[in-house]
Amino acid sequence: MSQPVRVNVPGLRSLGGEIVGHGTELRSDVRSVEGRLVPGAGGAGWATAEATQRAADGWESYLNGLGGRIEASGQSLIDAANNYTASDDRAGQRQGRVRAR
Amino acid sequence: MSGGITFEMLLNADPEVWRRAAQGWDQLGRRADDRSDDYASSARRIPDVWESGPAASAAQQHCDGLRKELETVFPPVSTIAQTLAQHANDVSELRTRAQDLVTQGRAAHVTINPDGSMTMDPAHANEWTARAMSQLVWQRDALLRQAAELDGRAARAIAENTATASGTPMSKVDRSTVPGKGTDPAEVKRWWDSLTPAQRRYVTAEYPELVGALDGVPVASRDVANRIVLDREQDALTARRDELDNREAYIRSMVEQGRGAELYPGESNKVGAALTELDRIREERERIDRNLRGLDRITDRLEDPDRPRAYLIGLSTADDGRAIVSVGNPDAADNVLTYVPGTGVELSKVGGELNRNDHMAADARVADPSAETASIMWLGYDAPDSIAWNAPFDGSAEGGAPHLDRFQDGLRVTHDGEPSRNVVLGHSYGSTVIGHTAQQGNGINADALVFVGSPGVDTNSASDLRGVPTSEVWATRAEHDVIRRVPDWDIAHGNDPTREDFGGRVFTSDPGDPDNEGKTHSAYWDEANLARENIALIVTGQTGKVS
Repeated sequence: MSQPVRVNVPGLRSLGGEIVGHGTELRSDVRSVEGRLVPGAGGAGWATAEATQRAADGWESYLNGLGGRIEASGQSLIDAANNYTASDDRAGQRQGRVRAR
Repeated sequence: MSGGITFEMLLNADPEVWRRAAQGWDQLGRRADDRSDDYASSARRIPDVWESGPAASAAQQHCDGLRKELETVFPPVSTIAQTLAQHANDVSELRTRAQDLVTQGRAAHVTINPDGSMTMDPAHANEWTARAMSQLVWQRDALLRQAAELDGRAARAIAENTATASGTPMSKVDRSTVPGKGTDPAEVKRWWDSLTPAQRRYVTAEYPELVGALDGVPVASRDVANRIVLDREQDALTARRDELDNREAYIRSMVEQGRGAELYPGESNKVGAALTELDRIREERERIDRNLRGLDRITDRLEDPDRPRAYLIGLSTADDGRAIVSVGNPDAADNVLTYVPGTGVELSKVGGELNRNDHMAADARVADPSAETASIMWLGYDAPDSIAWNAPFDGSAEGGAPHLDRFQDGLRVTHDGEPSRNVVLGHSYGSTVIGHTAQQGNGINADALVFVGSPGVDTNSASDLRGVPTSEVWATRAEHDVIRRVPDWDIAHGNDPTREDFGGRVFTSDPGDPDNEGKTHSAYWDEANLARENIALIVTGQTGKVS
């Protein structure tokens, strides 16, 4: 037996948009600290400065990726909502054609 | 010479560049944490709009995975911020010592060049100068070795917390293996040392309320855990407050519509039931507001970029609340002051205590700029609410003593390098808590005790206080402090510890205001009060200068 499907299409679309926004904000958070995570020239020669630079590169790359995946997860909810609407529309059209015959 | 660090680097080192970088990481951690909260809130609502079906389950599962990932960002990012802030302190201290070495060389007719090489003044080329130069070479090399060691340690800590393409790895640790609260700090430390970095990240992120409260876990990790607890407490209290507001609005609206009876169908006295519930809501909301006020003060202090880094070592909103906040990391400090506040202090009033703590940390830096001093505001006990009703009794002191005892033991086991000078200072009833701690079991783990405006420490002799040298039991009481009105009775905490027959060492504080004895009791931390300088001298071990 397949599970019954219960969905609030406008709500799902709106929630998807909200989640896309969280991903976008995360990427914006990363941009807001770019260049501020490392000691710059004042840290030259210290092993800590090199480690910090690697950490900044690693975290910026990872968080940008995570932000992108969050955006994608939100977009997939929007897509699902759109698919439900499209599928409903198609079903409605089929019903209309059947009645017209 | 050792590592890649040169003497010139130490002379030219700029701690500010490290502090600014630490602030950048702090900001990144906080923002990621905010996003984590936002995302969790949205993900929780998926079932509301997409109740069932295989696609809904798959979407929920995917979003839960992303939520988990976001939750794991804060601990490692925050640890990097901490490490850089500590590195800034280390760099500052190393630079001061390098500059001192140059000054010493000048006095000994030895020029220390920026590259660390040394030349003897030809006019004073004798055996004495040669010996001095040899000593300076030894000191320079020791300084460079220490710099390389600190640099290497910081670099390793940062590397351990650097994200790969899949984030920072975590290894699951079963909750049941985390030592219980009250476990001997040495045992806790052994458990902590047995964990891998990935396991430490896991327990910090997954069980912050356990890790944050455990004496024996290094302070830096407790700080990260307790910041998570702080964030959760604020969220939970705010949510609960909203619930109460909504419930109150609903009750009032039903009553206004004349439908109050529907609210309490089983009650015979429906008006009474409504009033009782409204009273209960008001009381709970007041308690929540008080706690939130305290948590906000702590947050402000933790996020203040203009003051030395603060560490959140303990936090709870139970009873009147608990908070342990350190200015500077005691595990890395040369001197560690634990300040125990007195009557009337609770979480909601923690702001004033945090200011006092900041004053004492700053005073110690002035008294000895070459040493690192951490100052801890320890509200780890339920302080009496009132001078008149609770303070004359021992209950709070008895209850607090085992916690203070364990906390001091924990500071010893987590400290890095040479043991620090650990001083415990109690104001008012806080001194009574210290007195009880020092008379239980093997006493208190401290190098010095300081009693300020004390009602008595429940013994009439400094020699009864164990775990601390009697010669390092200090006390002060302002001439016009209202506390002098407390009688020297054994049933009221015993004699004033500034009495000569108590056997402690008495130091001076300003006399205070004869027309306002109550205010004088709280004036020890006022600007330029002599007590402050004396406390700083005791904390930094310059006891010969105490007046």
